[in-house]
Amino acid sequence: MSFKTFTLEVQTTQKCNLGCPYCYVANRDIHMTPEIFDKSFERIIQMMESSKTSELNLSFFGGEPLLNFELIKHITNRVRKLPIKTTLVLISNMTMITEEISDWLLENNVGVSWSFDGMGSDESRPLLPMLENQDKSGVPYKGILDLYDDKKDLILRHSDGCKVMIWSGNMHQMVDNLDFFIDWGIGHADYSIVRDDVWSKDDLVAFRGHIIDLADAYIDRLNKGINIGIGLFALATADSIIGLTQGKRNFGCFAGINGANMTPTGDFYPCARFASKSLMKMEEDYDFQYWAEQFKPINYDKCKTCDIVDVCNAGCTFSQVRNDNKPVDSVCELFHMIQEQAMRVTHELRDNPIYQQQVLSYFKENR
Amino acid sequence: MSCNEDTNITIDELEDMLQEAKKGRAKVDKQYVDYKDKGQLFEYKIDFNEFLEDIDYILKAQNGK
Repeated sequence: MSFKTFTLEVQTTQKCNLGCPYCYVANRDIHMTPEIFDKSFERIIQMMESSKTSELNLSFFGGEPLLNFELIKHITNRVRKLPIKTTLVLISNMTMITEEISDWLLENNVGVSWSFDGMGSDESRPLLPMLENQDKSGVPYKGILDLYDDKKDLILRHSDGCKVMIWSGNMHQMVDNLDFFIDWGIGHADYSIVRDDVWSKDDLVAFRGHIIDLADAYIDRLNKGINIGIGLFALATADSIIGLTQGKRNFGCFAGINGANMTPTGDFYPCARFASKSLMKMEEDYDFQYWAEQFKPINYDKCKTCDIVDVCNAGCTFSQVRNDNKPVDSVCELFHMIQEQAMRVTHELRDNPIYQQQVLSYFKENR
Repeated sequence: MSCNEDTNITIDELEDMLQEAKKGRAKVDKQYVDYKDKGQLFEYKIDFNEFLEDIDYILKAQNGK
């Protein structure tokens, strides 16, 4: 198995200015220093060599990475000097964006992946009592939506899409949230389901109703001429096209096969989830090829007889490792529901020019 | 779409592949499993042949063919 790109998550800090109940990263005052990054820099090069990758996709991860902006600048300067193609992305809640930071990100071609829960954010993403959560006159924001109203224009300079985690607590809001995002001027609501073993049978039954409603709303809004994309349908559609035309892809995600997470103390794990539990620390002799075989979706017995095996990526590697190295039943059920609705959306919108353009964009992006 | 970054294809390549897939060259004619035996909650309508037809239709509409 060969990959072109090595994905490196750099955990610049474990500290965050939000107290999201579902977050798996411990909110602690542990920050990476430039010295720690520099000390581990050669190890990153070694990992790229041993995983046989030639390009670097580095994401600034946290906690909230903007709490360690000076390190982001240091790493950017260092990595940009490498004689290889590098892509840099900030994974952020964007609450700490300022004009200065915004200008710097644009000047240095650092992309942004914005995590934003939408209309329920005041409850799901509470601001902690920190200086960073006050406005210019020193008054604490009433909530994160109040803060975002203040910084909306700055945020939308960087991204017209946002990442929205869907779990049983907010699945009922998916349709209302879609309209909230449309009102906000967001073009792509990247809904992604939590792929852990946390969904009860009742949750799954309810989810099916909500995902059908979401598909109906998506079809309706596009037929009204509104251009908005929905991440979980887009990914299922793109994966289906690729799986049905090129055969099943032979990897699930980057974790431990062509990527890693670097912790604030300079240790490496397959991804941030593994790091959060200190599971599978990657020592010097870590064998990427071996773990690529262990995590290859087609090797799971359960997948071999599944009807959507060719178009499914089998879920989250971390969750599978914690589930005797096999896909989680509830997540398989969710994938079927999403797959079914993605195909219905494609059928019902096949004459819609906006949808046609969205489908083409999945591939234009990959050219 | 970052998960697919190592399987880059162009729209033209995709159109050719779709024609092959519709002939059964891709794995689209698999026998569907018995959902009850699989312990799944619902029986899902997942029709890969219809999906391929829809994508082919969309590409042709966008490329004016």
